[in-house]
Amino acid sequence: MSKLFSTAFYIILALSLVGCGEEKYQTERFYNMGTFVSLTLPKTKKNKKLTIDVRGRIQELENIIKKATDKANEDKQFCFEGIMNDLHETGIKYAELTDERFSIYAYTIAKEYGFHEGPYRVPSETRIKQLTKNINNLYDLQMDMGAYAKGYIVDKATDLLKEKNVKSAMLNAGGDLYALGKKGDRKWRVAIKHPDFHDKFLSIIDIENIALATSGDYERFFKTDEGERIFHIFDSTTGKNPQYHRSVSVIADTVEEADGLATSFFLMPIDEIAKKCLELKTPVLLYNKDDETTKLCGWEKFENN
Amino acid sequence: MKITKFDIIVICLLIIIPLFYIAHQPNGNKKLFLISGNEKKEIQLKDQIIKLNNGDVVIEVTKDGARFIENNCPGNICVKTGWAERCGQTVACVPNRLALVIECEKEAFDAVSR
Repeated sequence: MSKLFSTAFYIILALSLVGCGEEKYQTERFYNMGTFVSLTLPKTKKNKKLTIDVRGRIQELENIIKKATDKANEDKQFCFEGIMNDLHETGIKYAELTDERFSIYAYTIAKEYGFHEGPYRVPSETRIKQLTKNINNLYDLQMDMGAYAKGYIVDKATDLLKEKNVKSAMLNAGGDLYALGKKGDRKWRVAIKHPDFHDKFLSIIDIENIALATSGDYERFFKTDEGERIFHIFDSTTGKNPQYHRSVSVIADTVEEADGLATSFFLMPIDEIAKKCLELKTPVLLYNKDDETTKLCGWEKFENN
Repeated sequence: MKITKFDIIVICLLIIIPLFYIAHQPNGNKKLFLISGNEKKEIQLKDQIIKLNNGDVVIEVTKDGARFIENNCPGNICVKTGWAERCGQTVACVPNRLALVIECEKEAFDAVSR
């Protein structure tokens, strides 16, 4: 074998091995918390078992929260303990942030519209006024912490992954997600969906050890006979859908915070968000009815283009 | 040292074969899955109509993707969503826990936030 031939052989061999170094990942999908959850982990036997454990933790927390929520709504007793007390405190924080536009009791109104499961209808103006008054007076209430409870559960499931010494994972509950470590030698790449188009994205970001959540008017909604879109987020002071944005994405340290802020910011105009996200150090992406995209508090830094 | 014809042929082959291999794995192979609650079932990407829940749910499948054409869930968002065709794309009907997912070996994004 000539020297040139053997050199070429080793170069090609080395090049072909580069491709093999990439770790294989596997994504498991399952239904929990009213959405499809996906967990991406390096493909190993140990991780297959871990997926089952993660799902177990999610299911367990979901059951506790659901049971306590149903009981509170049935008895109309809103004194909480344990996990529910923590979640309640979080709710108060977001109510303060939004001047009471956010409320866990906004479900009193959402339920009247038929959320979450339908049948959907638009209550009369008188009825809406009555319900907002009730929320204000803490009378005859219905409660739902769904705006950030899902995020809380994803955080706890991520904690389990960390306890088990997982260095690389992506846990995504219908767009509320945590990117643990990197995917191989690069960061996790996440796209923010455009409200109207499947093949368009508002932004593409690369993230690592951070959470992201999006609230939009396009996932859970119905249309009235007049063609008006009614979606699941309500301003508890007006009883109506906020009209500032169509999509709000927030990057934060925990999924609970990203999740809660995405809903809270949905209820706030841009100038207020710009101030708050500076204080909270949470990058924000906004998209509105006029097809305008706004990036605040360092969102661009995460974009790869 | 003298380069023989044989050396050149071997070197060319060694360069071309890996390039050919790399060029022919753009998405890996595309697979369609139907997720029903906790179950995940692969569906062949070929022209077919699938009926579920006594015909309340109807799925149209082609060689490129799939969509819900009938669904009895409130709001009917999944029917309005249209086709699941590209890698990583999901069309979900949350109220009755059904989703169509396209999975590829190599996906453009690791997740989509919505």
